[in-house]
Amino acid sequence: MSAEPQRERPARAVGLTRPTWHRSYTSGALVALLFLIYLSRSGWTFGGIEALGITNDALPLALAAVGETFVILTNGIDLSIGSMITISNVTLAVLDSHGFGAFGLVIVLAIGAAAGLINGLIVCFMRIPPLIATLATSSIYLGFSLMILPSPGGTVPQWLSNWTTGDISSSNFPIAGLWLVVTMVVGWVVLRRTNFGIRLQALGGSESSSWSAGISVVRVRILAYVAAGLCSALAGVVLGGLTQSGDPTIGAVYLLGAVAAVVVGGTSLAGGVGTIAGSVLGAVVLSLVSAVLLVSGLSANYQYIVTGVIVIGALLAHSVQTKLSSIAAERSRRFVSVSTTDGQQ
Amino acid sequence: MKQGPHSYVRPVEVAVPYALVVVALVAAGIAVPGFLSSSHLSALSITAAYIGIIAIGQTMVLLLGGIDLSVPYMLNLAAVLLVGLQLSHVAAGTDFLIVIGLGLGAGLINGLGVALLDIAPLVMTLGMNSILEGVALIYSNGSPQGNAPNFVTTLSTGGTTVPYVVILWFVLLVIVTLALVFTRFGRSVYAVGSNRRASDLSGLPVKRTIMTAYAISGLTAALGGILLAGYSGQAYLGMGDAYLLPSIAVVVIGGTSILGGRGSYVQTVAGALLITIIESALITVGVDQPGQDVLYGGVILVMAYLNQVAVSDRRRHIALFGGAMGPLRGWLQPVARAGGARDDGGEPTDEGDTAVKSDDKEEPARWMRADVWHWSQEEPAGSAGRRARRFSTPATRSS
Amino acid sequence: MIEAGAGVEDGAGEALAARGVHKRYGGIRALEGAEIVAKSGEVHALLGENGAGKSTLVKIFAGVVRADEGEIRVGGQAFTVGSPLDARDAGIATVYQELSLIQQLSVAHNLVLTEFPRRGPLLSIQRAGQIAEAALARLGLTHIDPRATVSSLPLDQRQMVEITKATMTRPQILILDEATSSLNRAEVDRLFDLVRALRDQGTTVLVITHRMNEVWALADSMTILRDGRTIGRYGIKEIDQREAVSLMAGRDITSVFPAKHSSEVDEVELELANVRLRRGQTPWGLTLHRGEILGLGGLQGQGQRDFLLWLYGAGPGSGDITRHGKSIKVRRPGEALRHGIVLIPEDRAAEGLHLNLPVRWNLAMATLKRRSWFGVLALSAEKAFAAASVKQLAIRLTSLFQPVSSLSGGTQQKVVIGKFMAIDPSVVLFVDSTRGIDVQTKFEFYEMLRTLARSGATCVFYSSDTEELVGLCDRVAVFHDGVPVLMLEGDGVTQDAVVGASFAAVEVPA
Repeated sequence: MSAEPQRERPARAVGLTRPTWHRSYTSGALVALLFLIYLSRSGWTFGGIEALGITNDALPLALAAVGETFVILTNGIDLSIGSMITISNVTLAVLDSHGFGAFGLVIVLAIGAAAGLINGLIVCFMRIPPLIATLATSSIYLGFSLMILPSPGGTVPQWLSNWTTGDISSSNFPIAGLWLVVTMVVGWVVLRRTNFGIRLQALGGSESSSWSAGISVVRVRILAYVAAGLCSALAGVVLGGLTQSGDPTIGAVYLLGAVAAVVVGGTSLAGGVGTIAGSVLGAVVLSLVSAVLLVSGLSANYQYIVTGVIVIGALLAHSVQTKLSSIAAERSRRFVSVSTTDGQQ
Repeated sequence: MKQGPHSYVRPVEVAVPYALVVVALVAAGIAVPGFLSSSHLSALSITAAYIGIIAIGQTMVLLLGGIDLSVPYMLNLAAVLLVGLQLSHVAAGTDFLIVIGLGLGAGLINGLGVALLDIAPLVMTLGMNSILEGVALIYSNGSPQGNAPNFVTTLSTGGTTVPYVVILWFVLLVIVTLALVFTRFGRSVYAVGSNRRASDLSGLPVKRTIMTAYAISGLTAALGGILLAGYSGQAYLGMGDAYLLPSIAVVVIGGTSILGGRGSYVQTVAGALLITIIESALITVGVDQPGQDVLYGGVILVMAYLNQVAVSDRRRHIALFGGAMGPLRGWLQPVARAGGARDDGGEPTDEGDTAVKSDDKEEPARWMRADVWHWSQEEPAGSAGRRARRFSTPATRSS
Repeated sequence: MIEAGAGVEDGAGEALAARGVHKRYGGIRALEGAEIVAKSGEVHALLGENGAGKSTLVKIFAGVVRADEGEIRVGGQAFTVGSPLDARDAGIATVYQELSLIQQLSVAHNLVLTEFPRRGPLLSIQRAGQIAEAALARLGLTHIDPRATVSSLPLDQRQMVEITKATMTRPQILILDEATSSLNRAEVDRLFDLVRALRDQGTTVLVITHRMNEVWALADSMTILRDGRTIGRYGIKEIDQREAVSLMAGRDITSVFPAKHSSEVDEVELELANVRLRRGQTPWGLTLHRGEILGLGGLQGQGQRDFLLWLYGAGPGSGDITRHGKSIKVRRPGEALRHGIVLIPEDRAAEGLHLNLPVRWNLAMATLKRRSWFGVLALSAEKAFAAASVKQLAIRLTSLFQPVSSLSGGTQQKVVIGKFMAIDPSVVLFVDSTRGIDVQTKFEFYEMLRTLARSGATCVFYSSDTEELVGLCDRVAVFHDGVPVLMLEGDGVTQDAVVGASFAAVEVPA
């Protein structure tokens, strides 16, 4: 090896070596920015209580966003996230009020996975576009939720509340914050260090290439939807812990939030490009937005407008960035093609 | 099978949904006493009209291959604004126009985002929905005040033999269908929905078409909001949520392809009637809201599946979303082209029904006079080079 | 069935042999008793026109398609190849023109995709990188960084990664199906070095290509297919290009191109000035004459396509266009059409047709305005127009309303051209329209082009095939990096001149 000429530095176009990192920088930057704004409005105080509020807000959203990320990475979409959260939440509450305790938790997770499985099967085998399919299942799951628990009620295991709300022992650090970090780490590991995750990325990048490489497209796609179902179930459980009851209307708002968080986080809707960290940070961004609004004295109503604008703006920003970097790549590639004939770099 | 002279929609595609309507009516009539009474049918037709009118916009947008998720709060905001303006003693006619204008404007913004900025319709309209929700909340401060103007209430609920709303619906049906069949805009809608890039290269005004379609969608959603406000006399927050899924469902049930480029509003009307009949039957039989939600979703899934199986949407679906057959997309080409069953193709026959009287009106263009055209009928089977582009994802958008 | 050639052997030393292969697709017989034999350690070429059955044969070997009849032997052992996995087990690896790499992932990821190395329960990226590096080194590709994202690599390196990926399973047989179509000459040379290295390592390589000179540069022997049958197997020294082409076509090809008439061309149709396809370029100008065929030459991707797209209003760039003395603006294809400029797109399925829409609508698509009155279409006029077009184009149909997707490829191309010709254009732009078309159809195409030109239209013809450019065009503008650097006319239009100009502009960048 040593006798061979030094390896030529490969042509790397601007911003294309690790595209996903680039994109999640945006949400990180937004978090920092919003944090600063928040501080400026709140008189530069930031204590345990504020952190608690924000992380409690962010955690269920982050879980939903992570689930949605898995699906979007395969060039799909899951509009039933909200309903899956709802059905998990109410099932938990009802089961617990009948004394199921921890076992109830297992059942709830199984239900979430099953709902996701159904979504995946419909998309893959009935050949109905994910948009329609999940819109329809969203209605179905919501219907079941209302049958299970027509109005807010039920109970939630105490230990669950202890494990989701409040601070870690006697510190000022919110448990939810810890869970956010855990979610990011676990999500990252699943996406980048498991076969499932690698195949998911491959599928999103190019379906035909994945197939010719021998990857079972159907299996990976279904699993992505199952993952979304599981994450929704976790979100529903967490919400149960936070509110300490069940509520059939609880999940509805999370659809927009999840998609928004994913988009802000830099995942491309066409699939193949995206990070878990970005989506989690995207959820934090949205929570910070409502916190900033609150602390600025604006009514919560403005939150809707701001969220809508942020979603559209983020998508716009990312697509502009992609276009710019592909133009840059075009340009640099042209020169390389020609110059390497001469042995130049 | 020869189709009508001007029609791209095959008669069977229209006949089936309407046949189902008849079946549903009959079934409901048997199962539920009094279902077919004139007063009940009248009420049904009003309900169907509401969703039918709202679905005009959704039909157009779906034909384009897009979607409009801003219907709920477009509707809601229109209703809130209408009753609110009444409170400020604005002339009834003026506030009607203002609200319609708002619908057009918001829809136009959706269209701008999708056409000019290349923002995925899902995100654009979802975001817009949220924005409109915020505006509605702020404007009404959480509880909308005011009443709908009288003429709106009359329009919405009045009419003895035939409800006014139904007449309005019928008029709109005619206008929309004429537009889709006979105008350049209508043709462009189908073309853009079928293949945006090819439409652009054929000189069609792609962006203008998209913006117009979304503007119309905003308009009809606003109109729906106005009518609904007239129905109950007031507006309340959340009134639009129940209309999103139905607006898409009736289009899909009618047989319009969600992928774009295929379908018609006439079919959507059938879908609206069908859904309304089923829903009403379920209510009278005693199925409550949650049960309806479940059945709603189920019906959509079944109809979407059947429609997709029956029509050659399968290949386009395969190309776009994969599924079990997805990966075989490229390899299927020679099989499909050679012997596979298809719409009306099959083996080209000699002469056949192209025997249409050729008018002398159209002077053959210069090139046509050269008689050197005899391309070999042989198809370069499965040449490795070509592959249809992915449809309308942001990443593959044309220049 | 094996005629002349390098002596029939009894199967010894045959790495890949297929005999008596039959395959039908519905009514079409793709292969009828085809036969091919590739000896171990040689590079064997498979030649034939489009429709001769090459692709089908390759797909059978790759396990994508199953043969109806026939025997396939790999290394002397009989195999049934019914799926891509079977092919892999049989030791066959295939590389296509369309890359099967995942662009967003790194080289290493792509190479180990299905058998990712683990460390404990998780995947080990580090070991993946090591494996990738070793694989690349085995083929002498040490200049490719395994950590680089595939999308950041130039095209030829991507193709080499693709080949490396195919060798990961240590196949006995490597099939290259049109692997060089997107590459320029320099890139192709590098690729060939790699192929020779593989051959020297004992892999048998089966090459399918349209480019004749590549075959004689690389292969040791060849099999010629025609109409689904094997005409013969020949050693590379036994036969020359001309003979091979005749055997492929089944007839003697003499003159391919219709006579030019450039001497009659005089009048200016379009005057282009201050053209800049990208920011920061030096502006350039060009004149288009009535009745001429202007060719755009040069290496692929040097701006020919961009130029045509800009001129049609479908791509970026800036410049002044003067038509018949008047300055015009072309910002959208619609405006171009109005000025009589028409573009025949490269990919007819994706860019030229609305596949699910009726033939009638497709034909009428570009001329809606002239058959409408204040936005309302005159449908009976449209019907008459469509019927007349169909007759003129000699298209056989069941009904005007059948979807255009039900037509064969050649007929579809007629529809595309028919649609645009209805404008009665004065300028017709062709973007690589003859790629992947068989020889017979190409002849007809050239005839059409010449007829068009003779009737007064201006044709601008971009092709990646230099021979075609030279044979067909009156003038050739050679492009480099978005600028036409040389204009060849009359006797100066020769292949050497075009090729020379394509490379001469290569400078050492500052």
